[in-house]
Amino acid sequence: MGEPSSKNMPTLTTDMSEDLSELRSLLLAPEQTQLDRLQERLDDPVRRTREVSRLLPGALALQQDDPGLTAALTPHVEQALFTSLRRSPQAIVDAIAPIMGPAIRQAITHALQALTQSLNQTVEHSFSLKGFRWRIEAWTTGRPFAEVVLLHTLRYRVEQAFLIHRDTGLLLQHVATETAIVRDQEMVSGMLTAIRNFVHDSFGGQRERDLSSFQVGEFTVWIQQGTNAILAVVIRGTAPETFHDVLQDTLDRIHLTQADALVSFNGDASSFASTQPNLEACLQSQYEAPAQKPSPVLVAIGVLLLLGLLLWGWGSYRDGQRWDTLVDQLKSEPGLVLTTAQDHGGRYDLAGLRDPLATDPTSLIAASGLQADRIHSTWSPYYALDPQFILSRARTILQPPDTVNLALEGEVLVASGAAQKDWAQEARRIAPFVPGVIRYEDKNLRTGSIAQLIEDIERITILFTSNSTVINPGEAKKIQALISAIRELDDMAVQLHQQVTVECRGSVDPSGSELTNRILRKTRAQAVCSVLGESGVGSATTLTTETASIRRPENQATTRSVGFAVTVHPSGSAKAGHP
Amino acid sequence: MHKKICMLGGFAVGKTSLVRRFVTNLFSEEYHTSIGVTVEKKILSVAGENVTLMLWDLYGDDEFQRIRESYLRGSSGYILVVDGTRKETLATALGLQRTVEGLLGPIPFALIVNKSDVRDVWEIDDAALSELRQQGWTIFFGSAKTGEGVESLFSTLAHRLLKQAT
Repeated sequence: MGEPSSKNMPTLTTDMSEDLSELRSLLLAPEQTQLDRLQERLDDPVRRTREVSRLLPGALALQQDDPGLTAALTPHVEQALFTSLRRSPQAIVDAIAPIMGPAIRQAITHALQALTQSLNQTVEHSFSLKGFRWRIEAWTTGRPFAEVVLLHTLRYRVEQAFLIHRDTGLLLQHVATETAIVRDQEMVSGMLTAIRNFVHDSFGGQRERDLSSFQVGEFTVWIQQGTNAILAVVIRGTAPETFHDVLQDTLDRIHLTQADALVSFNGDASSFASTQPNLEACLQSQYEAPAQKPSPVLVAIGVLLLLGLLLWGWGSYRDGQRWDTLVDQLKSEPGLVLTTAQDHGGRYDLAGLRDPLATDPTSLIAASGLQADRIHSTWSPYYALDPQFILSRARTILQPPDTVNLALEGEVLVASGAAQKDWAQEARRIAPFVPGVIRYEDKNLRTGSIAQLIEDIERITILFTSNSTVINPGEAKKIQALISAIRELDDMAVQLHQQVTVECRGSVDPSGSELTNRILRKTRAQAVCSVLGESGVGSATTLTTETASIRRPENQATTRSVGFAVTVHPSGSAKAGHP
Repeated sequence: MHKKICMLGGFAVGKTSLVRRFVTNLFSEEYHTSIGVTVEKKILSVAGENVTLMLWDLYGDDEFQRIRESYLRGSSGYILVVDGTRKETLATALGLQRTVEGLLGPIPFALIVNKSDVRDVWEIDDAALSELRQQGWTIFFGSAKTGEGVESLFSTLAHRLLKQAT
């Protein structure tokens, strides 16, 4: 194709441009119309805005994983939020209230739970002996009592967790409880690694022989090994072995989420801030569960049962003691022979022999304190040959008067004292038949009547030498006989409820003056009375000297002597003459 | 930013006393003789950024093969300390440098010659040090007595570590 000549150019150009224009309009008329419309749409901001608003949600949704979009939007969102907060805070409050409410409630619940646990443990241990010891510890160490209680009831508490880069020993992340004592965690991390390396070099060599735990006072350090990181936790107390699994899980999760950061770690640990929640989950603790309190009803039943058991035990023991005492008493009781004594678990059998004169075993049983209806006793009669029983039996059978004294000398029953003749004869007959008595003796038993005794006494005369008032030693025998007779008479009088009056009557020879003789008579009578009184003649006997009222009989011997006149009369009555 | 740095040197070159005043201590020096290392910390600001150097102060040992390799692992750099008054400590440092480089590769390090306050009794001459400088070694003179050289040593090393990291 040749170049157009310059001469024809203007004409040709004009024609051509018209042609071209015509041709263009013919060929491109529809596209031109579309272009014009597009131009119009682009130039119209209202229309474009409307169109973009329709596309924007879809476009943002497509770009949701694009960090660029987030970065671009963040300042605007922040600014918008900030402006909105300043302009209309109530709207934001209304918007976030549904979220913040539960969050705050949860936080408060956690805090209260911790407080309640602390309070519970404090109260629980406040009044026990252990609590008292802990109170002293709190006082001496200056720590709050609640803290001391928590420390002592603590089974274990993970106080610190270190995430350490394996090769460099540099600290990647560290968390600790509020109460933990935290030294420079970066240096601790380095030193932990150094110690781990040292142990590994010295004793290990293989991965599984790495240092996995060590004990420092009340703390244990557990070290969980990972490919690129190590998780070390400081535990107060003794954690369960299952806690290793928790640590391993945590470490595995960190390795999974931080794989690239761990491999390319160059000393900047900021990217490990996101592992903080994982580590905080390791700060576990467990306290001693308070002992399960049994229900009050069970406690009451238990106490009642125990009391019942104690009472029953005490009752059994006491009954046992009483039974033993009763058996001992029955065995030692005179006149009882115990042949059977059996305890059938609270029911008792007694059997034996019993002298009719022995203590009634029923009274011993009643006095023992044991229930009488629980004791079955059978007693067969027998005669005991113990001296006191023989004697007692003899008294029962012979019925001796009070003036008679019965005694047992071996197998001989001896009667002494004074008794009526009739009784003495009867006793002599019956006594040998008293069980246990082989022979009867009554040679010392005085027998006689009152009249006979009075006669005996009145027949006695105590003689004096001339003009003397002193009893002649030769008269001593008579005095003795006199005393003996008066005593015997006194015994009988007592038995018969009578009283005796013995009158001593002095006599003189005819020589001498009347006055002298009267004095002699009186003095001699007094001398004899006095001797009798001194020797004791009995409680029922009264001694007197001659009274003026008694007239001397005409035929009375006029010798130097003292004679006697006896009267017996009922007690309390005036004395009478001879019975 | 945290970096692990090892401090190495022959027996009794004064490593610990040289840096003690400039670092944070938490652990007793007894760890030196028991497990062969104590960890100390040095925080410094480099170009507006806080850098924490975790210093693993390794127990001086003239027999380098006995250095615990596990202690060196993960180091971003290291410091060699020699005693200017004892020539053999430089030889020890050279040996240590070879060992560490063999283990960790060419990572930043610096040499500090201690006891600069008694230079008149030094056994180590400038020629030897110049030769090392020519090989690219960074060398400082330090004194435990005056504290000279230590801050610049840390600062320089921290700079190089950061530069390497970026």
